Amino acid sequence: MDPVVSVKGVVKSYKRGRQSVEVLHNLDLDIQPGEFIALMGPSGSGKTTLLNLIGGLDRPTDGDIVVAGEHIDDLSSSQLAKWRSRHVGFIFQFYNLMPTLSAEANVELPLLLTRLSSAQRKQNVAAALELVGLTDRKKHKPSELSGGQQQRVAIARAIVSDPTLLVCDEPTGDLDRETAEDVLRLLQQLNREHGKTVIMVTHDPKAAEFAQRIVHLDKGALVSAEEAAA
Amino acid sequence: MKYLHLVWAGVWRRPGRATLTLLSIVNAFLLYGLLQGFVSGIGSTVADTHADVLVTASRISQLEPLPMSQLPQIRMTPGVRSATPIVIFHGAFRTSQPVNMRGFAIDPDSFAATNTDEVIPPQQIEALKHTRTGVILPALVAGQFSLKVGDRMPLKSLLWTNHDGTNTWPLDVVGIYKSNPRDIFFGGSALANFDYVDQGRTQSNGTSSIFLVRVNDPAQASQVASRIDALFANSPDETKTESERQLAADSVKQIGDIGFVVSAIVGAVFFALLFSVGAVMMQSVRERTPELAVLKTLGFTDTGILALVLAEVLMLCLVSAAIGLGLASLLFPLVKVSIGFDVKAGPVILVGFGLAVVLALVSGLPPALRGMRLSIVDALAGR
Amino acid sequence: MSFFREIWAVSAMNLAALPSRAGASLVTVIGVATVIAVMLSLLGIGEGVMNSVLRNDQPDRAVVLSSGASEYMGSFSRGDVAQIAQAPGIKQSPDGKPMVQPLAAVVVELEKKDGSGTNNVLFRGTGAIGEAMNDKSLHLIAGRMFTPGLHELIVGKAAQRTYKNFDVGDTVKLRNTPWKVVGAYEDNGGIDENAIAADADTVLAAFNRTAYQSVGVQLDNPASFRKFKDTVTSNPQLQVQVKRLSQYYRDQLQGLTSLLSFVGYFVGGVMAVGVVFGALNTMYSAVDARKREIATLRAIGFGGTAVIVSVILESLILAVPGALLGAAFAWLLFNNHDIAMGGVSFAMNVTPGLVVVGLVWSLVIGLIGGLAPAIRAARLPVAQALRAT
Repeated sequence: MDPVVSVKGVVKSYKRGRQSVEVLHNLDLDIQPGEFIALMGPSGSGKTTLLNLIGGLDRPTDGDIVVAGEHIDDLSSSQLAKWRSRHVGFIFQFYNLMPTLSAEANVELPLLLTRLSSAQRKQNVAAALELVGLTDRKKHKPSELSGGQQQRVAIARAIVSDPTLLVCDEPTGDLDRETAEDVLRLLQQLNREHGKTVIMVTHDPKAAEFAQRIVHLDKGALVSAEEAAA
Repeated sequence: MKYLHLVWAGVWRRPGRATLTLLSIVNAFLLYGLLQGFVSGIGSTVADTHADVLVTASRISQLEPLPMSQLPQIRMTPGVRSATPIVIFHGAFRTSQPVNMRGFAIDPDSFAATNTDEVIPPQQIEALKHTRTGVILPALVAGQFSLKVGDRMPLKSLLWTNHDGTNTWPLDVVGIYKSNPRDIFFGGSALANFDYVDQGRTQSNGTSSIFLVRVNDPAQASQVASRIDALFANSPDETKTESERQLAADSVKQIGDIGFVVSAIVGAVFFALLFSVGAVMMQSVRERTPELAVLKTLGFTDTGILALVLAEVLMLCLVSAAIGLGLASLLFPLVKVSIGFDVKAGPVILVGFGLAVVLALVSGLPPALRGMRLSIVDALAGR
Repeated sequence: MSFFREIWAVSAMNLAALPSRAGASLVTVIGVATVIAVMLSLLGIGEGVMNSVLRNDQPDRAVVLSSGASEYMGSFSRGDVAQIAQAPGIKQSPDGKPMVQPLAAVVVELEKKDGSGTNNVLFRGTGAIGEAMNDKSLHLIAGRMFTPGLHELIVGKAAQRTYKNFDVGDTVKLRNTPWKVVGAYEDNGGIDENAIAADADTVLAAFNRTAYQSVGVQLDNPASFRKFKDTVTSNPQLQVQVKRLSQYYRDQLQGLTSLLSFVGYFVGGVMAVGVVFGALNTMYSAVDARKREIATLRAIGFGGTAVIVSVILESLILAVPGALLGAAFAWLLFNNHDIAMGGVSFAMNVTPGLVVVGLVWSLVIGLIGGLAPAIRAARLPVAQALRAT
């Protein structure tokens, strides 16, 4: 089977003042469809950078990134935006919900970019909220929800347009132990029961155990990989 | 518009700040509406004048009266259909302000002859004829002072002293007519009896302030005017006869500078507003950088964010403008009564909305560009 | 710590942060500047009008008018003038005659040089005594004085600028009579520079009048006004009113100046309301940005009052330069600028008094704009604010 994500020879450098800092050195990585993979590494290892590249938030300085058969490193900024809306669902450490919108409206946001009718959007939103178990909180604003509930709204938003990838950056970093496990179990459920490919960056080994494969980065290069207990 | 709730939520993200900004924009448009309405009212008088009406006044000055002996000669001039004397009778009623009512003393019989388009209902002129102390009031004024037919109204004249030594002239309301605020003479003017005023006043007896002349053929108006003036060219009381339209144009010219002053004031106000709205929007974008970045991650394009911010500014400015212009238009009738000119609301409001759009685009563009250009990665990382 | 040192410390912190808040602070400064600039410009017109008539005021001058009439419509026979001349309190001229000048005043229509039409202009008829009364401020700048009995006139500086055919030596037709322009005069920038003058009797004859329109009187002493006025007004053969010259001018311009004041304050007021909203925005955001610092100071022990005073102070510090900027703008653009209104030209005057008015307004705007945010700053729940990001 062809990998859903294929990273080949990717280099990423940033300009810091007049100097150029190379954050990723010649990285290769393949991710299979339906995989739940965790990216781990110390601060500064480049794991978030790699995640951003795979998610199409940024472009590599050199190398290829192919996702679902498409060379996303060749796409322009506005093409990438369109691509993201169809292929990627993001989940962030600090949820990043719109504070002024209800849970429902937040989940609906990605669908506004599609051609779906208002009724169809409502349907999809309801389904997503049902899946994360927050139907009874749909009218609440983020300020009226707990951290765990907010993250679940964010997950609903991430899956509502049925994307190819679920990209998570420290999704449990701001949650207590119990809530974190709930969220991770939800991600597992999405992965096992709905076949979603999940790519998660984390520095918490306990969180990484929920994944199938753990990949370690250090100083911008892959150092090791292992099969997880899950 | 499926994005409407998103734009609306963005505007009201900080309700206090949005309200203050809204109020300051409403305020600016209220001022604009009132000032520009006033100017437009003055400018609108020219178009609505009668083409077949001439006004004969003294060539020396508008304050010089003309002898009544001129009237029969004017009536006999070829082309003249009818002529009537009018004495200026402006004054104050119930207030201490010098003028709050325009008044004219007319001769009911000859006035009726010139009243061919029945601006004043003929039966009211008849009533005036039969009541020496009678006065016909325009509806606007009657409403302003709650006067009805039969009421007594003492008018304090600006010009004429009564033979009892005071400036007060007791009048009885005999009719109320529907005024046309666009009519120079009969827009908001009270009409009293010429005989009553002429016989009672202590100066200028036997004279008239002006003569109102109706011609047979509007196309011949200027020729008739010249003929009338030729009659009195070498007399001690030279006349100057102009069409009503010409008169209106002259007075408008005199006030022409006001338009400039108003534009300068409105310009200053909007200049300050540009800064104020621009600062608020810039701050809003700065605060929301992470949120805007998230929208980009979801797939909103850079231009999409630009459009979103501009849409917010536009919504804020248009809603505020609507409220401000709405309030101003509620006050237009007041303006009408005070200056006697009709306000042309349409153009004022249209231009007002145009200003709102320009305001929104100019003040909103820098913040919108900032939002458009933000780097997703930097914003999410908190840089 | 003493109260003032507390205020000073909090204020210093606020002000040090100003440069980083330049954008928002500029909003208040510019807002106040525009209000004050517009208001002072409009009020400056009113000041200019008043100034133009009062600059040549003499406290020992009086004007006698017919009861209930303006200076154009009075009716004084020679006999009337003689009776007035017998009243007490009148100064004697060097050759022993009472300084009483019967005046003619008619209005003529003159064509403007710029082709924009005509204006009504005052044509004053005066005489030797009248000239003597005015000689402190009015003098010829070209040509000579008119000769009584001949159709000769002199023209005021501003009128000469504005109207056709008024160069010295020109002949101008007024009501079908040719008049020769024999001289031009200036009057210290006063309103009479917009008029033309000739011999009183000649003017009366030319315009078919049989009586003078008003009488000008020079009193021997400003305090003599009372007795002069009482004598003249109690004379049953005369139906007159007596005013001091300054009062007469004030009455004439009453309508215009109060209208201008009203417009100036009304427009200024409406604009000020708008600026207050903007100032509130500025100060609320200033307080918000400094939530943590303010809370820290309060946690340390600085009093709430010190915080309130320092926030209001900051608002005032933004408002006052705005006012000065606006006043400077109005002054630079409009002070001594000639403006023509209804055919009369005079100079606008942005006086120090007006600048003070502007400053007071700016202080009020600054105060209102700072008060509510100041109170909010003082009431911040300290612990919550310390945690704020």
